[in-house]
This record gives sequence, C-alpha cells and structure tokens, in this order.
Amino acid sequence: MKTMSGKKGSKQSKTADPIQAAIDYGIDISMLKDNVKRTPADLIRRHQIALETAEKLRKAKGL
Amino acid sequence: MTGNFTDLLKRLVKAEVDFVIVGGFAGVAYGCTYLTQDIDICCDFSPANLTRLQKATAGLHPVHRITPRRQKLELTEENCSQFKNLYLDTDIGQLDCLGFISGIGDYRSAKKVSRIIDVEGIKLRILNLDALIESKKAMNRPRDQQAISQLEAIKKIKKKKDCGKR
Repeated sequence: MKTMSGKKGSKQSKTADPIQAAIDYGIDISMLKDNVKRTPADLIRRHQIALETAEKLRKAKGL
Repeated sequence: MTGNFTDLLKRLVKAEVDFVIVGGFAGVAYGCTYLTQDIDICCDFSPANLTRLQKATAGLHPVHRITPRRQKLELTEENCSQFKNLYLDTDIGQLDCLGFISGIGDYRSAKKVSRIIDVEGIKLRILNLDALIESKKAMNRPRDQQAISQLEAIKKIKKKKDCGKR
C-alpha cells in the first residue's frame, strides 16, 4: 500500500482526496458523515426546521 | 417567509407535473449542510406540463418573482412557448422551474440521470449524485464551489460506507 509522507505527499492528498479537499475548504466533515447516514426525507425535514429557525432568528433581531 | 418545500413538492407530484429536483435543494437531500431558500426543478416545458404546474400552484398566489411588478402566473396554451425558465414565488416558498440545466441538458436528459427518493410517502425524482456534481461544475459560480466540495466529499464517504458493507 502506498503511503503519503513528506511535503510533496501532503500536497497530493489535498488535491486527490475529496474529503481532505473539503476539510481544507473549511467544511465540517463530521456533519457530512452524520448526514450520509440519514434518509433524504430526514435530511429535508431537518433542513426545513433549520430554515424556520433561521427565519425566527431573523425576525427576532428585526433584521 | 420560509418555504414549506415538502408541501410544495407534494402538490407538484399530486398534479402529475413532470420534474426532476436539481440545484441546492438536491444537495440538501444528499446531505449538504447549507440552507437554501428555494427549490430548483428541471421540468418539461410543454404546454401540458406547464398547465399542470399552474394547477399545482393554484391557490398559492404564484408570481414571477423576477419581474418588476411580480406579475401573476397566468399560463395559457399560447404563452407557454415564450418561457424557458420560470422563477416563481408562492405562499409556501420559491420555486425555480428550469427548462435546461448546465452540464446536463433539458428535462429528458435530466430524467435519464435521475433517481427516485421517497419523502413522506411521495416519490420524487432527483438528479443522481454524479449528475448533480456535473451540473454544479458546469455552472461554476462562486457559490457552487462549496456545494461541489461537499458533494464530492459525500460521494467519497458514501463509497467508503458501501465498501464497508461488503
């Protein structure tokens, strides 16, 4: 099995591995891993709740 | 106003509108963590399908949200052909109906690279993950970059998960 080590290897992993690329981008991978375990219906339901919460916060702040 | 997207989608299905969910909301269904305030669908722009779309949104006060006066949605057999996209606002959310998706093509092409998901008992057609990534790459707007990054990571996580099952 090939292993990546050293400066050159790290750079390669950043471009070749989508998970590392997402981490480098600042994305919370643990949230994605949790979401992958959920059904589309659950993801859509949770999105709806988050959207409604964001709207309530916006209204509460009078923005 | 926040959209009730599930309700909106249920109405489309009930009215037998031919459509595929695309864009940011499709990303949400795959596990992307961002919030989106509209639903993008790629649909058949035939007069018959647009008539069903109008029927589905009847009672929700649909308007063309990009027109200066937010004109009411009033589709007829005659004026249907003048639309390539419809950017609508309704009482329960914004709905963008697109006749063509960058990197994919029209409704028929989108349907070929779609899959069915079950949401609260309704069957919804959604772009498959690879096609969604392709469409985002083809759009390549700054806001698509985060979606691409998340979708590519989701694809890898799913692949690892599926390998683990075998």
